Amino acid sequence: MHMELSLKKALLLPLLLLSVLLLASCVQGEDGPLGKLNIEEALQTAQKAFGEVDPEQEQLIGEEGVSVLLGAVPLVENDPVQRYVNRVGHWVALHTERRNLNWKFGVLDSTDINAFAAPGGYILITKGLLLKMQSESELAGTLAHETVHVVRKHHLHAVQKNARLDLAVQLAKTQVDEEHEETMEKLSNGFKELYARGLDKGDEFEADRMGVIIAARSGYDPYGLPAVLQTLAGMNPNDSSLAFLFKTHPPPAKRLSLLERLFNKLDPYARQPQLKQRFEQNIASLRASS
Amino acid sequence: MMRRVLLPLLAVFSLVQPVQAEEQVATVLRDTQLRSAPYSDAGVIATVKAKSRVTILERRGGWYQARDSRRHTGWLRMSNIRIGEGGATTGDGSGLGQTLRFLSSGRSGASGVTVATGIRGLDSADVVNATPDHNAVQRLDSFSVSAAAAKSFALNASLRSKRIGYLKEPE
Repeated sequence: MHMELSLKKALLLPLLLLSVLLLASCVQGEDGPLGKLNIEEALQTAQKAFGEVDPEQEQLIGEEGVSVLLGAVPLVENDPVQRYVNRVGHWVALHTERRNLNWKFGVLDSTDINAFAAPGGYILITKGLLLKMQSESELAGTLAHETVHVVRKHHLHAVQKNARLDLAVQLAKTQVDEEHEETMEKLSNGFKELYARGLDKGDEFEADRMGVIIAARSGYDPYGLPAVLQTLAGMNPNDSSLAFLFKTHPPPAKRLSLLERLFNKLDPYARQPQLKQRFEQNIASLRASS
Repeated sequence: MMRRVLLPLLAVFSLVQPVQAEEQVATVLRDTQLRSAPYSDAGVIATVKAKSRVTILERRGGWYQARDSRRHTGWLRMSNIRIGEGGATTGDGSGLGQTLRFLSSGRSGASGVTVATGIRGLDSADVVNATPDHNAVQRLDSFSVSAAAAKSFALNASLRSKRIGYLKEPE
């Protein structure tokens, strides 16, 4: 139902833009607001403007997004933990509709509790959140939530909307390349604004709803993500390590109450492994150094 | 040198001595039954009242094993409890809380530098003021693993893929 609606929207928007462009070129004679445009070009531009950038462009856009996050906080200096999170994350990502992306996962050296995604397959989780977890299924559920943001292109669409149409048109007209400083700066500013503000609540709820299924598909106990939300709901809301998360996400109790309506559908998979011991073995060095 | 010796030692120690999760208190949301096993048709051990507190011992799927004030131990559906003391745990990130957080965290403005040792925060100001770090992206890339490696790691733990469709948005 939901998917159908989005598809209609995706088709409708370029058509709308096309008609605006055509109308503008009629009023102004041969040259429209973007100069001479034939229908084919206009349609192409419109399609690209509304998010259907090609995978290479998406990867470059995502790199800019993740470079902003890594500019704000460094990666944890613990290669085994970084690899562990990649092994779990990539396995989970193989159970999404975009299994062939270059999925890359990282642990941020921050005691803050948060996780992030960027277009193209970048997922970051803070050390603070990782240390709150009690099993690999909790990690898998959290990473699954983040993969949904990539699969459904939540950030890609938001950053294009955010930086307004001009950025998208520019991206479509000029191949994104590192030399194109102005475009890249617009992009990184778009990501800064987006990460500081957060995604739409609907995107977060969708990521929760799809995330529990992706975790179950991957063979994990699907209650890992709800268990993490329970842990967060149980923390003192005035804990400073939750401030950024609470500013950018719906309250965990609200997310839980929406997920709970699906619990009966998850129960056939409830006995799939949590992998508590493997989780503790793999993050022991991180716990010890914190 | 010390670090190289110490870390593996600590890792081994933590295997022998399983990490004890801090005991969690939960609040019961509605009158519900404490059951003898994590199933809805398992026998009833006791009834717990809405707003009462229980101690969480373990989780299995969508059930928590809990102990009530009369020391009955049994299983509660996850949707019938909220971890935490209740009342103060509805955190909505609203104004006053934010201010208090700012005061208690000792953050010095936009830099995100914290006074307390061992705490490295992350807030919206840190992101807005960040200088994109492309070298760090390369380091991130270096940790990625192949699909085959991810698969064999999963099989080591007997994780099995399932075909499951997404669920519709609840009404």
